[in-house]
Amino acid sequence: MELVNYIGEKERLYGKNGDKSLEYIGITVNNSGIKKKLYQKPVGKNVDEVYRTFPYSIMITKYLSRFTAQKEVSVCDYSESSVNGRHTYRVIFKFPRQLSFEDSKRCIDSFFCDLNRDDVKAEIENNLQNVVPALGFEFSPLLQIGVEFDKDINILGIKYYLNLKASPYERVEPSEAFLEKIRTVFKYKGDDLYRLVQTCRFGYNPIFVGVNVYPDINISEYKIYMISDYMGRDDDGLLENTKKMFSANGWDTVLDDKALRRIHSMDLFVEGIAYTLDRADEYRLYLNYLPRRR
Amino acid sequence: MNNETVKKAVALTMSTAMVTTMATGCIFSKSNRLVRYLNSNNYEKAISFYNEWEITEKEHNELVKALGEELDSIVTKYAAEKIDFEEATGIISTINTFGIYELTEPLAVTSATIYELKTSKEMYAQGMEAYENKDYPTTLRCLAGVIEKDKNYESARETFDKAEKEYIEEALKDAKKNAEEENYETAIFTLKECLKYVNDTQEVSTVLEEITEEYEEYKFELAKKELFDEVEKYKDRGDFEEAITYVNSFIDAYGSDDEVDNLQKSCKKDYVDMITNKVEVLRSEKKYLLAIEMLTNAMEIVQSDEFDDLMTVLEKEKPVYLCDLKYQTSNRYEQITEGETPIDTIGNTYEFGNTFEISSECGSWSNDNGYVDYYLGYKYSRLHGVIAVSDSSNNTSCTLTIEGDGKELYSMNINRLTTPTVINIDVSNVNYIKIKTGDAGSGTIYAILSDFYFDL
Repeated sequence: MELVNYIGEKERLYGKNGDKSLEYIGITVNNSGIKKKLYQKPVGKNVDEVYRTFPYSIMITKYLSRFTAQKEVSVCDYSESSVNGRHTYRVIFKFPRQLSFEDSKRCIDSFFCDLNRDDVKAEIENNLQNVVPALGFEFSPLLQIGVEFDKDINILGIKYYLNLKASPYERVEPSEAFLEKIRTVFKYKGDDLYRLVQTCRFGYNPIFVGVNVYPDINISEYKIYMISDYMGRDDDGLLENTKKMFSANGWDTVLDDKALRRIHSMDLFVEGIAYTLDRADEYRLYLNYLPRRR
Repeated sequence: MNNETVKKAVALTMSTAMVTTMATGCIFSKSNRLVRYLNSNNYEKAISFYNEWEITEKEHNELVKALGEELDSIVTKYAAEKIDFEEATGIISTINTFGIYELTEPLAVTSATIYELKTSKEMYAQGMEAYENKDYPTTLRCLAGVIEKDKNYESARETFDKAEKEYIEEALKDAKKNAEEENYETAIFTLKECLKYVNDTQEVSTVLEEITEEYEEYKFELAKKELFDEVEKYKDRGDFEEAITYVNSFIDAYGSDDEVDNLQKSCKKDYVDMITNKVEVLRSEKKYLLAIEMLTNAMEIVQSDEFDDLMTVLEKEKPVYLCDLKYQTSNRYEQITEGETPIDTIGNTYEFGNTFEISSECGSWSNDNGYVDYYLGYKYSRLHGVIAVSDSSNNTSCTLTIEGDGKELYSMNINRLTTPTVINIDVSNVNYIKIKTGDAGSGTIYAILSDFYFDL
C-alpha cells in the first residue's frame, strides 16, 4: 500500500491536477527490493533554458554549448540529484526522427569530443553498426544519448537508447526471429528473453533498447523496453488485462488487484515495461496517464 | 333365609373353596399375599414382604407365574377403566423393583401397552370434545389414534365415521360456495385440508379437480384481460417488440386460445410493418449497415418472408464497406464497435461499425504511427468516406495519407481544427491500399475514418 500511496502522492502533486510535470512514475523490482522514481518533463523546453539552469562548471557549460549547437539535438531530460552526499547532474539529449547515419555519427563525435571516453564511443558505434544491418534500418536507430557527471566533471555514467523499429511504419512483433536478432546484435547468450514474448501477449511491443555504460567499472547494462499498444477505448478491459498480466508474471505480490484498481482510478496505467538482460529477477514498470486522459 | 341356613351355606362355600385351593395351590400362599398387597395399592408392604421372603425355587416359579398373570390383568383392568393409570404404573414399578429376571420382557411390554392405552384414552377424550365443537380435523386426527384394546374403540370408530361424513359435506359445501364467489384458492385449500384427514377421498378429489380446472380457466381469463390491456398500451406507444415479447411470455405461462393467437399475429404484423418502414427509410438514405443491423435484430424476434426478401435486396444493393474487408497489417488502428460513442472535435458523433480510428503518438518514449493495409485486388473504382479528428486528440497535428501500391493518392494535415472532410478517391488499378498517419507533433492525435466504402 505504501507503493500505491507514493504513486497517488506524486500523481496529485505533479499530475494533470498538479504542476503537470509528471512524465512517468517508474517502479523497479528485483531481488534487492522495490525502487520508485518520478520522471518529470524537462525544466525548460529548449536548450537555452536548460543551459541557463545548468550549474556553474565552465566545462559543463562549454560542453553543453558545443554539443547542443548540433541542430538535430534537443534536451529530453535534465536532472540533478544528490546520492550519498555526491551532487550529480544528468542530461539526456534527444535526436530527431529519421536521423541520417551521417548526422548520427556527427552527433556522437560531438558528444564524445571532450569526454575522453573513446572506449564507450567505440561501443556505441559498434552497436549501431550491428543493429543497422540486423534490423534493416533506413535511418539511424540512435534515439537518445545522455551523460551523468559529478561536480568535478567525473563521468558517472553514459546512457543511450537504440530504436528497435526499423521504419516509422513498422511494428516490432516479439517473435522468435526477433529474439534471435537481439541475441545476435547484443551478443547476448542469456535464456531469459522469452519472458519478453510472454509479457508482449498482454498488449505490449518492443520499442527500444536502453544501454547504461558505467565507464569506471567497464560494465554495460542492456534493457529492452516495451510499450503498450492500448489506444484508450476500453479502460475496464485494460484493467482486467493488466490484472491478468500481473498474476501471470507473479507481479501481484508488488501490486495486487486492489492496488491496480486504485492506480486505474488515478487514470494511470502501465504504459511501459523494461527487462534488464542477464537479470531475470528484475523488471521495471512505467506508469503514465491513460491515452485519452492526458 | 334364617341364620342356620346362612351358616350352612357359608360352611359349604368355604369347604368348596378349600378343596379347590388344595387342588390348585394354597390360597394363602406367599405369592398370593404379595399380589394382594399389590392390588390393594400397598406397594411398600409388598416390597418389604418380598425383601424378607427367603424364597425357594418352587416359590420363585410360582411367583413368576402369579406376577405374569397380574401384569396381564393390569392391562385388561386399565383398558376397561377398572383401575386408573397411577394404579397400573404403581403396580408395574413395584414389580420392577423385585428385579425378577424372567419378568423383564413382560414388564416392558405391559408398560408400553399401558402408555399406549393412556394416549389412546387421551386421544379419545380430545376427539370427542372436538366433535362436540364440530372441529372435524381434530376429531378425525384424534379418534384415528384410539387403539383396538381401548374400551372406547367402538365408540371412537362410530364417531369417526359420523365426523368424516359431516366433514366431507361441510368441506364440499364451503368449497363450492367459495368457488362460486371466485375465492378459488380458499376453496382449493379447504378441500386439500379435508383430504389430509378423511379416508373416503373420492368425492372430495373429484370436486377438487373440477375447482382447480375452473381456477386455471379463471386465471387464464384474468391474465388474458391484462394481456390485451398491456398489449394495447405497447401498441399505442409503437413498442411492438415489447408487445410480442409480452404475448410470447403469456403463451409460455398460460397457453393460448384463438383470441391470443390472433393477438400474437396482429402484433407480429404491426412489428414487421414498422421495421420494414424503418429499414426502407435507412435504405433510401443509403445507410445500409444500420438497415442490415436493424433487420438482423428484428429477424431474431420475428421470422417473416418480408424480412428475408428485404435482407436479400439490402445485401445486393449495399456497397463494399471498409469493415467488410480484412486488413493485412496494422498499427494503432481500431474498428469502433462499442464503448464510448466516437465524437470529433467539432462535436459530431459517429455510428459504431464502419468507423475506425487511426492515430499517431509522439511521446517521451515513442514516435508511433498508425497504419493499415487492405487488399483491394483491383476490384474497386472509387473510395468514399469522411475523415475527422477525434475529440480525444491532444492539441497537435499529423499527416494522414492514403497510398495505393506505394503511390500517394491523398494526403492531408489534420489537427484539432480539422473539420470533417469528405473524400472521393480513384482507387481503380490499386492492388493494396495503405492508410497511415505520421509526423505527429508532441502528443497523440486520433483520426476518425467514418463510413468508408468502395464503388465497384
